[in-house]
Amino acid sequence: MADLGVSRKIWFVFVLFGFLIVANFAVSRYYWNIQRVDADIIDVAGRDRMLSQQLALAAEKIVRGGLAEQELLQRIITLHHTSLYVLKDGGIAPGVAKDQYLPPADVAVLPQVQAVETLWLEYKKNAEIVVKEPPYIDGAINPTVSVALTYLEDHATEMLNRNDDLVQAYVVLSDSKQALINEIQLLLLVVNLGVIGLGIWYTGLILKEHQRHVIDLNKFKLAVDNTYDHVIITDPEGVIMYANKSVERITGFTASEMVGQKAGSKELWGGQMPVAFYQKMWQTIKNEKKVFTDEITNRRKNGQIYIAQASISPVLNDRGAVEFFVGIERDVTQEKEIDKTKTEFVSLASHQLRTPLSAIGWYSEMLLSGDAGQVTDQQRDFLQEINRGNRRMVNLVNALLNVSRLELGTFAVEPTEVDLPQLVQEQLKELQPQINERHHQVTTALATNLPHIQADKMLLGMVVQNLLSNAIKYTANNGQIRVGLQLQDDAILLSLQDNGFGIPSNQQEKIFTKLFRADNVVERDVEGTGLGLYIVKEIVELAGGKIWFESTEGQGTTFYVTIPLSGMKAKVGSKKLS
Amino acid sequence: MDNNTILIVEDDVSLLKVLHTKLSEQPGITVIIARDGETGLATAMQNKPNLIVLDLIMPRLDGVSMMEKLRQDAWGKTARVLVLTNVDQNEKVARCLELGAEEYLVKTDWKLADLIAEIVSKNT
Repeated sequence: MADLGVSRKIWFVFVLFGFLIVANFAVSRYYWNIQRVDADIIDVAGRDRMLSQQLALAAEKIVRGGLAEQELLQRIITLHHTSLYVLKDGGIAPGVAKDQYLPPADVAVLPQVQAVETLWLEYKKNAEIVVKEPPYIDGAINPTVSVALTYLEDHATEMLNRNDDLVQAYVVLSDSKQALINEIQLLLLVVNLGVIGLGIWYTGLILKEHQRHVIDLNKFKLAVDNTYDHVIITDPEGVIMYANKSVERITGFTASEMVGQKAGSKELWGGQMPVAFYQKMWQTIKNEKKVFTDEITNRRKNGQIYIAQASISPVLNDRGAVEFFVGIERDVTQEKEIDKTKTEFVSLASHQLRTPLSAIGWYSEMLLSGDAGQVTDQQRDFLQEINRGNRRMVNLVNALLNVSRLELGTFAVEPTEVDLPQLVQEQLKELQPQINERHHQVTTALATNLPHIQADKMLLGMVVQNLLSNAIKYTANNGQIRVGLQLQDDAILLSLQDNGFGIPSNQQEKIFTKLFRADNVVERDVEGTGLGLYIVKEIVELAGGKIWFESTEGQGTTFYVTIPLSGMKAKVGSKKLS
Repeated sequence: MDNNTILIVEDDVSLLKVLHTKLSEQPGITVIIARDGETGLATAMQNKPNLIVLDLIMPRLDGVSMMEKLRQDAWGKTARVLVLTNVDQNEKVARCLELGAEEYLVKTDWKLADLIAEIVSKNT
């Protein structure tokens, strides 16, 4: 029952009550009928009893000269006879209930009926003699009539008694039936009370459930009414049926101004995007019946432009047709402005920091190339130091900008199909000059069964490039570097092994910390910003992957990175990391 | 105007000096300069240089706005512009390329000699 609607359940209770009423009516009518028939039978029997008395009286009057009574006596005989046989064999008793058919005598009263019948046949015969024969012959009483009358007189009491017995028997039978009827009606009453009680209890449950539904529904309505995002419900043509309070707050239009209008029309907050945008939106939600999400520019009632993150979902009925649309929009104007400010800041910072570095670099280059006259060997050496320092500074600024973009979340992620072995080969090729310079031997073990994944090629390239250049930098000349790629259940595992300086065990936990550099590489004066591994870790984690390492100082390090096969999610940003 | 004029629009004096010096050394190239977008635009319209080397962050009129205005001019519509800046913001790169910039170069990525060679190659 739990899955039936409230109205259906109420109907169920009504139908139950309906059945109960019909059952009560049928039972009552049946017993009322029985009672009426019984009453009629008793009437008939009672009348026969009375007739038997009248019969004796009428006979006596005839004998005393009342010839007019003969006709009455005949009527009494006929009525008594007919009634007796109706009682015995069933039929319609004359002069009692209108056309009421009375059933044949019940077995319980049959002996009494037969007792009356036996006596009656004799009684009738004598009564008929009184009727038919002349009471006097030649002034003297007719002996035949006299005998008949004597019989009638002698048996009048018995006739009355037998009729009495019959009436009594019918009364007893009727009483016993009545007792049964009473019992059955009591039972019916109990059943009635039970069913009514059950009905009331069940109705109570239904109402309670209904009330709970109403409360739940109210909660939902309140939640939607008061939710901070703009929520509208439209019909399949986009005509607004409902708008929550936030729509009023964000757009400035009142509910009455919105309901009945087409959502996002020029008359309301829409019409600010190119026509193609709206066409694509309708195509998605109405024809493809899919959710449409995008950033949208709208206009408030006061003319102010705002940017919203919109999602419009078609709600389909059982037949798969659009029942209505739910549009949710979040005003992201402020967030956009903050993002823009952050981006502008990083952008300006990059400009301000790099401009003097460009000057230092280019002027030192000019000096080195003799633009200001010949330089001595020592001057050249110093200038090269300046230039090298400048290069380091440029790298550091670039790395810091990447860090700030990662932390501000203002960088872009643009996934494309990436072939990881190819990406590794490209990075190796790019770093080949450095590898050659250090006389390292690089081996690769790149699995051939790797699927292409959706990822930002540049970001993954940075990961491989950073780890690879670390291996090159932090391994003494003639080192061994091994790059591996293998397929795991739901990821690709990149491993980068070197037999370099390794990471001191007491500093291993700090290795991904910003600007941290291990003592053993600082001592060896190897260049680095201390930001590479931090950036790598951030990117790997952004991609949903993991990074870890095994390292022994003096023996080497192996870095492991997993990239999920599910790839990276696209993200709009102001800048790609570089 | 002769075919070998390069206009450098750059507000930073020291960088302007380097670029002016090194490009002027190149045979046959005439270098003219401007130190803000507004002057740059006027100079470009007047002199119709073969190539404009354009910085982005500048006083009065920034590089992107200058380029937008330049593109509204009959001659400027097809003028060759090489963006040379230290800003590497995605939208700006995209906008400049959309406006038909030949290239978008980040200053610190370039050694001076390579940069001059690149500019000269774009001037042909």
